[in-house]
Amino acid sequence: MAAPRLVEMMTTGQDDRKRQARWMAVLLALVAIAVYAGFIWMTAKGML
Amino acid sequence: MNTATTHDAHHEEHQGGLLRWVFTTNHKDIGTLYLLFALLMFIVGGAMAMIIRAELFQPGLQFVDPQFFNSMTTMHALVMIFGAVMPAFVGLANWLIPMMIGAPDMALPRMNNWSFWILPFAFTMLLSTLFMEGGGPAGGWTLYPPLVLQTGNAFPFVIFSIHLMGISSIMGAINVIVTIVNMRAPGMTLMKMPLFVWTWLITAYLLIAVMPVLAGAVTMLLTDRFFDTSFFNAAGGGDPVMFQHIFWFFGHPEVYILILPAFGIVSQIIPTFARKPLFGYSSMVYATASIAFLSFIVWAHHMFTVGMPLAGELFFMYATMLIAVPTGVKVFNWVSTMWKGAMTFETPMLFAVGFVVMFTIGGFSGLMLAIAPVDFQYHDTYFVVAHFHYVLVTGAVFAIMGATYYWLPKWTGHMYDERLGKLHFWLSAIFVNILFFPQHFLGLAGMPRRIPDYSIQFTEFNQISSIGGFAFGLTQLLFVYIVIKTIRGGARATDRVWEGAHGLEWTLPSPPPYHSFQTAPEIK
Amino acid sequence: MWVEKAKRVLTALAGAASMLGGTTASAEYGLNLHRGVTPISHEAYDLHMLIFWVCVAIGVVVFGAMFISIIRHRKSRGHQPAQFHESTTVEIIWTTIPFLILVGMAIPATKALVAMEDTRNSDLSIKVTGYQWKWGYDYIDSGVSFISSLATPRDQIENTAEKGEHYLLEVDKPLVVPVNKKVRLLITSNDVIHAWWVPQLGMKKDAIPGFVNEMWFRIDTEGTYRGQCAELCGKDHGFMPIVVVAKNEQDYNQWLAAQKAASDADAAAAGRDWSKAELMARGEKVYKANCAACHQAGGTGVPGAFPALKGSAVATGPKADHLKLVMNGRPGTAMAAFGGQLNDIEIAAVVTYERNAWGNDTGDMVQPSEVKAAR
Repeated sequence: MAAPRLVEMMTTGQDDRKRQARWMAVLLALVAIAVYAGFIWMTAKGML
Repeated sequence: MNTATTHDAHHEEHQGGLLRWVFTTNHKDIGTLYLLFALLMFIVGGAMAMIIRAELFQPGLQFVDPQFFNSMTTMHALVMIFGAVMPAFVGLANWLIPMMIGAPDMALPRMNNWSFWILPFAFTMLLSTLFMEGGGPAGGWTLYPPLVLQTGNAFPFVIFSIHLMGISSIMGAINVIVTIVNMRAPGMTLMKMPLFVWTWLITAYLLIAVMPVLAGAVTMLLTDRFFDTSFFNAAGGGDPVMFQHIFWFFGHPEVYILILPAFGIVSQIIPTFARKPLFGYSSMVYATASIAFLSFIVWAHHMFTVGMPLAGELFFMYATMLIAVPTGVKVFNWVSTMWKGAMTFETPMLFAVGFVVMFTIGGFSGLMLAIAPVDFQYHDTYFVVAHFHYVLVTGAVFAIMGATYYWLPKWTGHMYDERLGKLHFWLSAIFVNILFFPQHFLGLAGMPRRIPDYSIQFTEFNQISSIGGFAFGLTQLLFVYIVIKTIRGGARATDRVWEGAHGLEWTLPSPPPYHSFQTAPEIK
Repeated sequence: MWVEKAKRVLTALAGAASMLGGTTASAEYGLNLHRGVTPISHEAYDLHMLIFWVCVAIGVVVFGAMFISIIRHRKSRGHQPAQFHESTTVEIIWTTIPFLILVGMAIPATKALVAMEDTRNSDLSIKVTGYQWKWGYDYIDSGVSFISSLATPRDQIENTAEKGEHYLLEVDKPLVVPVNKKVRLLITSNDVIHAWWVPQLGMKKDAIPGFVNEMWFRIDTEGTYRGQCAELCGKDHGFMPIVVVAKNEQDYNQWLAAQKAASDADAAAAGRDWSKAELMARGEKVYKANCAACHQAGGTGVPGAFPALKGSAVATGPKADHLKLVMNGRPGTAMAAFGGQLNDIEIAAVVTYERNAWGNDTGDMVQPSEVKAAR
């Protein structure tokens, strides 16, 4: 519904910002997963 | 979904009925869902608190057995933290951030929908554990092993629901960050952003940094219980104190996740009603950032009694005391904003002033708790209970209520009933102090927390506290009534709503259009 | 009844008010921290009062400024808003001054902490073990050891009898220590995490399985001091009190000798064969003190949480399995390993009791010698 037309609706230049936002979101999610895995790994190794 | 193909580009459209809310990707709809969900959980968690206060009204066991009492204290905390306060802040972020930075919507609307709709499932699962064999989780919201491993059939469900809440929070946080970083209107530089946006940006980073840590900790509990690992099992070479370190590495930043957006809200409300710009905007931003940084290096002040080496105790004591400096700066700035203003005291301002006063009281007891040699006496007593309820109830919850009164006219287009709003504030402010202030005395006199029954010397103050608790609980029904009444109708609100209000959200009509800024506004 | 209660509540409120007013009615109404009876508790109390007054002073300044502003700078009084909104000078001032106050607080706090953590040169060491839900004490130097559990009768807790003066803060066997001696506690746990705390002694320490924590105290006046477990440890967390009795040197030695004699007598009695009546009588006592909290006095358990013993497969099945379960516990549940907590006689008696009480008429008897063999 609203989401697909959001991109259309945005003024020029905002499509690009939307693409950037997606990449950033992926990166942040990877950071979160790395923190998760890192803490378990460090505990298992007895490093903490 | 068919509306998407038949849309009229400049017309507001959404599906009717319930499905509108299920499929919505609109920041205002999702914000509303979050806020209503938070209100529902506030009532559920509040009902649990009423059970706790009823049992503690008198010494002896009257209403519930100790196991159920423990699961009430555990669930009350989980529901209030993860179900009421955090979703309320995310709901406010959803409603306000796009409007405040001049964006049409959040950057990732579908993920926004998903991050909300995970929550009802997570909490249905969490609450259903109360009906399982062996009862709900009763080891405290801190889930310390080995005790939490004695939970009955509920255990894996509790862990899984915490995973779901964590995923929801992380997705919400990612959305907030990418929206703030990418979707600001031209000219809206970082140091021009409203303070609420700033505090949420910092909060979102805290969430991404620590929610995975909690997820990791509870996953290790799960494998300890079901797959014979020994992360935290001393008999297998593990370390139960390790869990506490990992938990509080999450837990302390979590405390600031629950209060930083409240700082932002109060920093919006006070200048409006003092009719004077916020004092020390940039120092407020830096203070927020330093509180966030310090929150990562103070976790072990929750564990002064576990037997750390002296050097560790000293480090965590000094680091914790240091937090008083940026927090103090914030309080001084708020007072200076009020100083020589032209103040009026509508309901949002009352809640903001109440916040500053009572949060500061909570800050004082926090400072006392930071002093390790005395913390040995305060630790795990009602003094701690009083402390964190002052910062969370008269802090976070008062800020959320203030925010509701402040922006509700903008959201609904209707003014709330000012007379009832003020009544709600005064009743809340009086009863919350009757509820929590005597708990300082109980703690100092030696009453441990999380006990269903107590020795007779503690009777009087527990009775006062319970009476305050019941009255405070009843008062919140008034809040529910006021909100519903305002949604359904009332005097028309103007676009600016408040005489002294500044910011992009006040340039939009009340209620604002479905997509906030279809063309980006110019910021001078 | 109601009038009486209202009166008590009002007196308490009056007490709170008088404390806020600055007088020290605190001791009477339990408003403030105990000054305690040890050097470290005095130090903690003094620090507590220091920080309290510092907070009060800061509060007076901040709230004072705020309320002056609230009263004078109102729109309704026609006050025109000033437009100042920053000043680097005042920001620096109100960053520096709190920092200096904190340094001033950190110095005495550091001194106190260093003293509290110094457990060297103790006169006496006692090992404290937390169990769900009782405390075990071992006098390391003299070999005396016993379990200390709640002495408040069940009917007081369930409101069918008048509550006593020390409701929930009384135990069957208190920890007895000499005054004016540096007593070092070695604290650990057998199951979940507990915390050993007596407010008057000024210190609290967690009892953690797999760890031995240390703390010390030196009591300066004879008397009885009461405290409780301070870390949530399950269902009966609120029902595992601590009582410390401080005696003078002579009384303490007498007490110690009596304890030794009693444990020697038990050791001798463990060698002989016991009659069923003796075992049942002793067993009922042991059951009430150790088992009834979960499995209930009638052996009915709590459905979903604690299994029933009445007619259960274990209590009516093979004797050896029953004995093994009691001695080794069931890991991952609240069922503790009693092998380390109870002596041969007590285990033999309680197993015999469970196999013959409440209609579990197996007729079996367990002798202390069998328990010894099973160890």
